[in-house]
Amino acid sequence: MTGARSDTTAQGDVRSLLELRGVEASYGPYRALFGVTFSVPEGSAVALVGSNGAGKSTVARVVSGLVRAKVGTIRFAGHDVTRWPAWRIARAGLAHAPEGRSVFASLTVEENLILAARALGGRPPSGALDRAFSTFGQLAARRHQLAGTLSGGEQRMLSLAKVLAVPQRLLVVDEASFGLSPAVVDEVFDTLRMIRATGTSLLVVEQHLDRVLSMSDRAVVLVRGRVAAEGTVADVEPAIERLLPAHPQWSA
Amino acid sequence: MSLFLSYLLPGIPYGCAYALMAVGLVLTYRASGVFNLAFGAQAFVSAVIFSIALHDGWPGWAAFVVAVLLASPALGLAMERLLFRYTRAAGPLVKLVPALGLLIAIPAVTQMLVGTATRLPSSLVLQPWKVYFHLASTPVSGEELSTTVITVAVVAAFALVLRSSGLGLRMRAVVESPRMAELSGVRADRTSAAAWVLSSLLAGLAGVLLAPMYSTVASSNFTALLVAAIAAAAIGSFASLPLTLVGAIGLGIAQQLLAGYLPSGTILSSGLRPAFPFVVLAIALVAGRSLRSAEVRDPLASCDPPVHAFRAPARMTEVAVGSRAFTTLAVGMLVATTLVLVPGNWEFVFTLGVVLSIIFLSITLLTGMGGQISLGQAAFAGAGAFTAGQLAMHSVPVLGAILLAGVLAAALGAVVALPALRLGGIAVGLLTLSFALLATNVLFLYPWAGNGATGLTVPRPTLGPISFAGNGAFFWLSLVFLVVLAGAVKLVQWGTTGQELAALRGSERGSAAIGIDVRRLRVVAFTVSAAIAGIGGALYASLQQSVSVNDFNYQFSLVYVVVVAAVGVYSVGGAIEAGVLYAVLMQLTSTLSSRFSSLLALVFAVVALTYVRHSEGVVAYAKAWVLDRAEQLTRHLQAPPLRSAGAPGMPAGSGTARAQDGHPASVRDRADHPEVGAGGVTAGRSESQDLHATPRSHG
Ligand SMILES: Nc1ncnc2c1ncn2[C@@H]1O[C@H](COP(=O)(O)OP(=O)(O)OP(=O)(O)O)[C@@H](O)[C@H]1O
Ligand SMILES: [Mg+2]
Repeated sequence: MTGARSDTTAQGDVRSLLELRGVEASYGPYRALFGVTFSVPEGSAVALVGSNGAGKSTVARVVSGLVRAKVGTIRFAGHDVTRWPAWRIARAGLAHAPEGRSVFASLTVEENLILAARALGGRPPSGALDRAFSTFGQLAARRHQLAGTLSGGEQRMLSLAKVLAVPQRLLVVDEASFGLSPAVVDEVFDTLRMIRATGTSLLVVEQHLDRVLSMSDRAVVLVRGRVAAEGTVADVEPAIERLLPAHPQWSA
Repeated sequence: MSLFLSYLLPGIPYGCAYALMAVGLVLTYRASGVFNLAFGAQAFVSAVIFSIALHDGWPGWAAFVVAVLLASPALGLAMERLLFRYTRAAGPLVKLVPALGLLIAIPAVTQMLVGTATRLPSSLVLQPWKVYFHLASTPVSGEELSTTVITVAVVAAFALVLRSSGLGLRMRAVVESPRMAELSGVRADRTSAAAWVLSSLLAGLAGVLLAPMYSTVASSNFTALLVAAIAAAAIGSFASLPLTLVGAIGLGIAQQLLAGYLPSGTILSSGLRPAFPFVVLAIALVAGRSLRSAEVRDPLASCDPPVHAFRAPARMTEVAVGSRAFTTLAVGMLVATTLVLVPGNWEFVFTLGVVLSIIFLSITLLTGMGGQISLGQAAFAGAGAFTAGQLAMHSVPVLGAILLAGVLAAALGAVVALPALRLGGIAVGLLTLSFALLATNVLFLYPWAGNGATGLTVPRPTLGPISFAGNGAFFWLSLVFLVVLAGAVKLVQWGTTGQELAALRGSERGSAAIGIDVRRLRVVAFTVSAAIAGIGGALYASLQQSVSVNDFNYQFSLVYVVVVAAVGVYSVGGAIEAGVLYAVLMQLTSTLSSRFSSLLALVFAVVALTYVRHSEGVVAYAKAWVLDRAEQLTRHLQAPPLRSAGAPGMPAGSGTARAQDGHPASVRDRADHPEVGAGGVTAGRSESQDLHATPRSHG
């Protein structure tokens, strides 16, 4: 695991798309991250796992610029984005589907997609909406419905559809399968695989450990705001067994 | 037919002016959730700049560029950057108070800068009074022509730009969740700044176009205009620009038609016509959809650290005792000096402070405790004052009249609360504002009510052999009223109703979900609050011994809210401090020159601007600050502090270290951070805390 870490944090490694080094973050007086260091190689899928409150969502927020890193650096696609505002990071090709509701409830399905396509790709690229709607048939039927009235699963699909509409370099998904029925969870993971097949790298926060580990190349284990283990899935699996003993019970 | 047209046509330019303001209101509301009541004041500033520039011999286009294209947008941008961008995630009261503060401050400051000399307004492109042509034998003046053409063109252009550039879509996204908009690559800051700049442009344009319709450039004209604009925006559900335009023009026309056709000299023309815009506003609010309490929460609000609850933390015993002793001493000295040492008019001033405190208590109860915004408290106070006056005229004993005044005001409060039941947040405020406007412009003018500007005389009360005619005796009487009412409000606060009100303030839906009868609770809150305001108003009338509509102008309702919110709306003490402070400041400024007579309004407006950061109230904040320091000092004197306690990365045990220093840590923590229960981790307010500092249970 230490070996895996040293090869990705080596200086000038052009192959890592996202790289966190010594990142610390706080919510007001409350510290949530302590010297978090790991990276996401270009083209890979990385699982970010840890128990509740370990700081997984905070890592996702720091990466996408929603929460400022107090200490440390974050590099994305060759830029130091540590001090960049969230919109700039998004335009550089980093999509973040936050946990919980992640669509605009007061906009229609179509408006949600147009907004993302427009802000990220200038004019909505022709075919962006078609691409999204052809993948998600059930959304096409509801294109003029307010997104807030969609079911939880449909809202998840919509937030992933935004990424499909305008291809991104990295997708950070936070608990995409939370509260979904097993069949829909399968659908979400199929979609993530599909997104990855279009060339988008993934950083996946997930509680369904078996599912996420089976689709990932690498994994990062977070324990109380610190990286406890990082490396290829095979390397890290024993550490996960040790650090997250409850895990068989979590995976569906 | 031509008679009809001659009534109808002049209504169109008025309607157009309403439309410009209304579209601007909708824009800022859509983009930042702020209902910008300072809009009328912005229009006024542009009109003043324009007319001064023309007076100084500037060419018309240059004056226009400076007044409309530069000054007004700059003002709007400053408002957004300095104030309203910090209120995005805040509740309706925090969004409202700064706007109200500016509504009071901007005309006051302008007046201080350019003096009060009346200026003749001047028109933009065409000669205002020249008749250019006749439409069905109705003369059409340059003023009417330019206003209409410019408005329709500008509103159409706005609607087009909002649609085709996607700005409208971005604005709607930003107002729901600025963070999620940023995740989609939208520059949330720019989007809301753009909305403020554009809407301020409309305010400036409205000001310059409208100025010639009035004989002088006075800020009150523009504030009155705002009401019609709000009504038009409500017709468009605060969303649709075309509907807003149609509503505004319809309103302008309807007003002129009413003026023409209603038989003059009857109650219809003297009552219905002036009341029309307020009634339309009330109906549009209640019947409309969008302002009902269907606010969508920002799903990413959890990125912010928890906010402190508006609850006084438990203090160290030494500090608590000390501050109580200090307060008792201060109040005692104040009362003593009032009664013994100071000259007669100071006695009067402090009595006024006590009476105002009673009126302000009504805001503490309704807004502070129940979270219901009311912009009509002065009207309830006025209703109480006039009831007392009328009853006293019919030889009811004055003390009884004061109590009955409370009863009548309570009834009015219930009547106003009923239509407000369907509304939430700012809409309740607008509804009560339209009630206040109705009261000051129509109701209070009738001889059976307030008897217009002449007013009523109200004697000082007597109780058997005791007369309260003297200022000293009346002071004691008011103090008794204040103590009883403040005690009653405190009892409510501590009781079940207080808890239910606190729940209502937090979330109306949540309250309903845990079985609170939200409708009954709101009616009760409005009724009790109006009763308190009514008693306060009656006492006010008896103190002054005469009362007229000018004492309870609707603008006072706005001033009251700003004052109480700025001092501290969440505690009974705040109302009393606000009352005394307001009375004393009013006395101090009344001795200054006339140019600075608006200084008082200015002081409070500036205080209100700091409200964005200290929404618990500026005085309340200062007190907490002083007590914090006192506590630090006491602790320092008692024992050297344990420096390492609570430092980042401290493992288990940091909690107990804190608990050693004089007070149980758990008590403080619960009061400070009610929503963070991170596994029993203790949390100080200023130290960095390791969230993961609980003992390891595994690994
Ligand atoms: N807005 C906030 N204010 C204060 N503390 C916060 C805030 N948001 C998160 N935290 C704290 O930061 C720590 C990490 O939270 P985070 O949401 O990143 O955990 P997580 O790993 O995503 O947990 P989960 O699996 O439950 O989603 C937690 O202890 C949490 O209580
Ligand atoms: Mg999480």
